[in-house]
Amino acid sequence: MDKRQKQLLIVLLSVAMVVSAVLFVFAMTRPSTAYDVSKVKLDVKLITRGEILTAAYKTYGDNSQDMWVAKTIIKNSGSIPVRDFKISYKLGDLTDWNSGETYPEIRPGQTIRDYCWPTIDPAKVATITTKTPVELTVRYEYKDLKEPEQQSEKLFLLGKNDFVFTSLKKEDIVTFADNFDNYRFIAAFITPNEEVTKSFANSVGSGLETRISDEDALTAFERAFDALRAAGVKYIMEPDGFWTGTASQYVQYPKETIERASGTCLDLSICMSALMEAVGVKSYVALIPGHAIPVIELPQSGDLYAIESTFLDQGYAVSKHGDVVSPDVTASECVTLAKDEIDKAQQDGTYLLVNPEYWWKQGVMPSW
Amino acid sequence: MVSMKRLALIGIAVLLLVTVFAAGRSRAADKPTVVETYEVTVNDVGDAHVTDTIKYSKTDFAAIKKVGAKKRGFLTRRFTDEDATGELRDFKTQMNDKTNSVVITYDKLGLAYNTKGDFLLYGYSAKPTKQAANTFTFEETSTVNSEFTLFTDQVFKTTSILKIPPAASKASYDAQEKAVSYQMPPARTTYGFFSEQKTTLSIAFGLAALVFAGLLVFVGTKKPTEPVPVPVATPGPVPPAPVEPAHKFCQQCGAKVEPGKHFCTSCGAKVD
Repeated sequence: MDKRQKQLLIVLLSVAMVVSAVLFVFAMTRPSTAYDVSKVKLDVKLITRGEILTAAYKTYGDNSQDMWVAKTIIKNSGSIPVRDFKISYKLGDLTDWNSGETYPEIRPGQTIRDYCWPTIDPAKVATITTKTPVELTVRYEYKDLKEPEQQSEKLFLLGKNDFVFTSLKKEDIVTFADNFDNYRFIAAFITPNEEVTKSFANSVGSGLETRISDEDALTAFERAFDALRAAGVKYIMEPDGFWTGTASQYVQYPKETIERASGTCLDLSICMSALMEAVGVKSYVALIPGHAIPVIELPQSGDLYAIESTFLDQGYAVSKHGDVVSPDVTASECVTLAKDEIDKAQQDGTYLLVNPEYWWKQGVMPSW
Repeated sequence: MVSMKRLALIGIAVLLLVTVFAAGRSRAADKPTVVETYEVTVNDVGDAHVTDTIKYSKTDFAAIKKVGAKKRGFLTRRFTDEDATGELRDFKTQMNDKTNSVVITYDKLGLAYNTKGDFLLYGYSAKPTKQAANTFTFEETSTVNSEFTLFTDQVFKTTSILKIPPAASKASYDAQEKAVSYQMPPARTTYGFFSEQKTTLSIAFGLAALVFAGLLVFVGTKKPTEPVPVPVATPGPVPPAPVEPAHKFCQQCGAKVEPGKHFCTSCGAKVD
């Protein structure tokens, strides 16, 4: 090999060496396909409802309902799959960390929507009497992550007696029913198994075959009316639940109506409905403009009977509506009056019937 | 008697006609007045594009359009309310006057869940009426009372078409979950050849660099062979051919030696 050949060989070997070295460095610095937690890239967004209707706390805890309290949108914006993603929630001190959901894999580009249906302690719910702020925290972790990550958002629990009639925006309200868009949650206030209500109802239904006899069911209905009157229950007009910031009302549970011996038309209707359900009579609450009326369905004929429950306050009925009632303001008189009111509302198309048994089955369970 | 028979026959005929008419009316009451096509196309990571086409009679469409013009968002408020927050993207509503249809389109991220290994698409309560390749078809007739019927009872004939990703396999209807389930190939990383063969390539290129470096050192330190100088011939006059001397002389005694003799004939010394 002469000098010239040597020089040529040196040049070729130098080029080959440099290229190999560059490729070596390039290969060494490529990301590994093995799972590497530092390569995980997730976009996590926590969304909460502004306000929670506390009376329906059981519904919010039922994952077959669409009444989530919060939801988390998780997008894998990285280029490797995320393994064993676990997510759980905690609602202030009202719940413990829930068991949460585990997603074995979130693929690159994949989005997951995870919902929070908290199991709220009933004893703690009972203490929430006004709109109360509470922090909802979401905690998530995934394979090889050293410590779970957390995000929090504030939301408000309405008082346990607050009922918001509709969650629709004002500009979206078109029909009469839109004004009562949350009407199904009235079923949560109808509590036939609560102790005070049950005891009161038993005294009303004693000796009657309410589940099989139309006559006995109607008798129980009128007896409940008379029993509440005998207990001194009065009709009151409650101010709107202005603190909720929406069309709402302070609604009493039957126990409260019995113990306080007073209630609004909605309170009295709810109480009557609960008493009837407690003795095995199918009941409803009819909503008409500015008013609520209790209704029962007779077991044999299926006929509906309503009663003007505010007139169990005899003094109120005589003083304010003396032109349409006798001084005795009997229960059967109030049945006739209620029928007229409902017939008129039905003709106007401003009538909504809340069927508690249906909504209980749908997951809007009685609060107590 | 004859006239009585005739009367009876006429009576029966009228009764039949009334019955048939009533039955016809009853069928007419169940006859769909609205035809809906609800098409969902799902991509590889479970995101869906939804196109919901609701076709009305001309009269009903005019009524819907009128309300929609007065109350913007009336038809779509359930799609855009608090429940739907963060769910839908690129939500659009179109009124198609030519076909008397309302067309709603949107994207829903993460419609298919893969919590159990399989991807699941929930919300299909009845078995599909058709399955071809990765397309499921569901058909249902139901009475609807909602914004889309202006809160009157109307019979909807709904055809739901679900298109799962072409790469999906083992697609089937899960009656228990009321869902369509399918499997997808394992998730691929996007690093390419160098990442997938990182170890092999690193070793190969590292070794190659070392070998080339070694060879370079070897070649660089080896002495090249000395080159033989080659005289450069210069053109010039051709020299005269050498003349062989006729005699040699003895280097010992100087005597003349005959050509072809190897010894001096005078002193006997060797002549060469």
